[in-house]
Amino acid sequence: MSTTAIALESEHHARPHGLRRWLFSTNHKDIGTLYLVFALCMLFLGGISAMVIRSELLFPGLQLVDPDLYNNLITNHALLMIFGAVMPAAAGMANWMIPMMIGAPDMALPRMNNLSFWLLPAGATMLILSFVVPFLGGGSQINTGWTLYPPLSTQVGMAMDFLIFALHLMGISSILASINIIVTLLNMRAPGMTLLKMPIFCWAWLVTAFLLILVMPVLAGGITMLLFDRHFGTSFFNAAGGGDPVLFQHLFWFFGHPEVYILLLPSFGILAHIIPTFARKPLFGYRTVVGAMLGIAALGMIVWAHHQYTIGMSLGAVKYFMLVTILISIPVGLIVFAFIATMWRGAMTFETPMLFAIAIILTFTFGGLSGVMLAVVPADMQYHDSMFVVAHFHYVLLPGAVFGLVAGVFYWLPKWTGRMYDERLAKLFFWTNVIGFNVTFFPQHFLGLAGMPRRIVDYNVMFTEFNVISSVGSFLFGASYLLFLYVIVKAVRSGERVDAQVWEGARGLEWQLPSPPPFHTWGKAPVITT
Amino acid sequence: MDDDAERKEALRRRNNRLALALGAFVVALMVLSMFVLSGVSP
Repeated sequence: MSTTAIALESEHHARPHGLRRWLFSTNHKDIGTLYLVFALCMLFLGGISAMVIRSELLFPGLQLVDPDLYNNLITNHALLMIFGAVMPAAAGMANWMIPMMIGAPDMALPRMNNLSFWLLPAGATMLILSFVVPFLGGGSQINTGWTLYPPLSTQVGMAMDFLIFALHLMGISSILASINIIVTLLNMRAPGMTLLKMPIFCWAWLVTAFLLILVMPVLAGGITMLLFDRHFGTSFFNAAGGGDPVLFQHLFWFFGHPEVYILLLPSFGILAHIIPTFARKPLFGYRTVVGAMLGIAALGMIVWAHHQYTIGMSLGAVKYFMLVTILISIPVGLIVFAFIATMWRGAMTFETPMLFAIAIILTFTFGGLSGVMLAVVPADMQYHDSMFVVAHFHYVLLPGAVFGLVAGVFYWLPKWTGRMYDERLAKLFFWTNVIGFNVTFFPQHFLGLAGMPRRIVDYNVMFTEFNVISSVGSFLFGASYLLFLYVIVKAVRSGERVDAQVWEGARGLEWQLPSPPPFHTWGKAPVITT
Repeated sequence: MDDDAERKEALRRRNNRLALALGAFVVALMVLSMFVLSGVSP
């Protein structure tokens, strides 16, 4: 893609300083930074709960926490990681990169952008309070897991109300961010940039944003009905009052399953930039990848009840959900093969983002395969609610979402800050991270197949060995993120200066901007000529 | 108003219209999921 008339407008109005710069920011790069810093904080908070969970499971018997606190921790861990860490990190990257990639001066609705971000700390505060209030005399602890199934969720104390409001706030934040991203991508592209010339990361986010506005309102509706059941005498999910608790499961998973793709697609978009850069070849099958993303989104919307095989659905419904679930492996496979074909005969080098890309292809594919196993009804009847499911979704979401975002941080950090990270330390982080991840979650497949249920604080002594291995792996995995933090801080404070074209093989408008980019990105829109 | 300012104003209006349409869709979907799916008439 070549461009003409690239112009960077000088700082045409004063750049705000101090607290006002961050509180009242309407600048896409500052808001992107806020999202990323927030996500990193939540990653560590969610990570601490994971470390406590794995410390508890290190040996059979009760070591550190009682069963109620354990259930509270697993709920908190999931929600912090999904709504606090992964989604905001992806939104931060969208904020930073989309205007730079499409030649726009900023996001389409900058003040709404500010609101989208600042709703998040409010939501996170409510989420943390939902964990804490039971210890301040606020009734029982949340014991439902992130799925919040009634009737359990209608019986929990006021912590559940905090949780419902936290989800509302974070959901509104996501919806506003999605609307902003859709409007930016549809209306603000540089002249000549047709939809099919748009960078894949932008396509990934366009699909993700549409998915978000399609499913987040359904979750909002479901948890509002839950709130009404708890406080206003309705019986939406109360069988004694003529309602049906299974209805909540349908509403929840109509959101919950597409949510998996909401977490995955932005990372796929990042990989679709990293792999061509370090293979020094254009992405193989651009249109195929775009089509596959649309296919994943379409199929992802109609498979939700594969999470509910055991509730006693009709045979016809079960067969339908099984078949369409297995069909998703086709578009996902197309993307994986497009990545492999891009690497084929490329002049590859193995900088940290590329190492992560290769690790993602291997481990995510493994998670996808165990997903096909879980999609098969008779098999799932055995695996359901076992540690096998825990292993499966961590193999999907850690490589598919978290590692992709981490790779994106290493890929774009030099562009954002103008400084290069320490490659040697970053590679050390990569190896400790990937080895720690596999040692943690691979044994959980065996635990599940041997019959260890998920969401239990104590277990039979026959499961001890694999639990010890898993916990030791998790300590290495958790500690590796301290190294990640150190690598970032070191790069920002004292990394070597880089020029605009950070990576030799990188292509796109964003690499024509200086590193770091000016405060106002594209004063005058670039014109795309080819 | 010069051409550039007019163009920016038109873009601003177009952005606002699309954002409002998407926002209305979101609210409608939430109401739909609450009332129609639960079999309760609004």
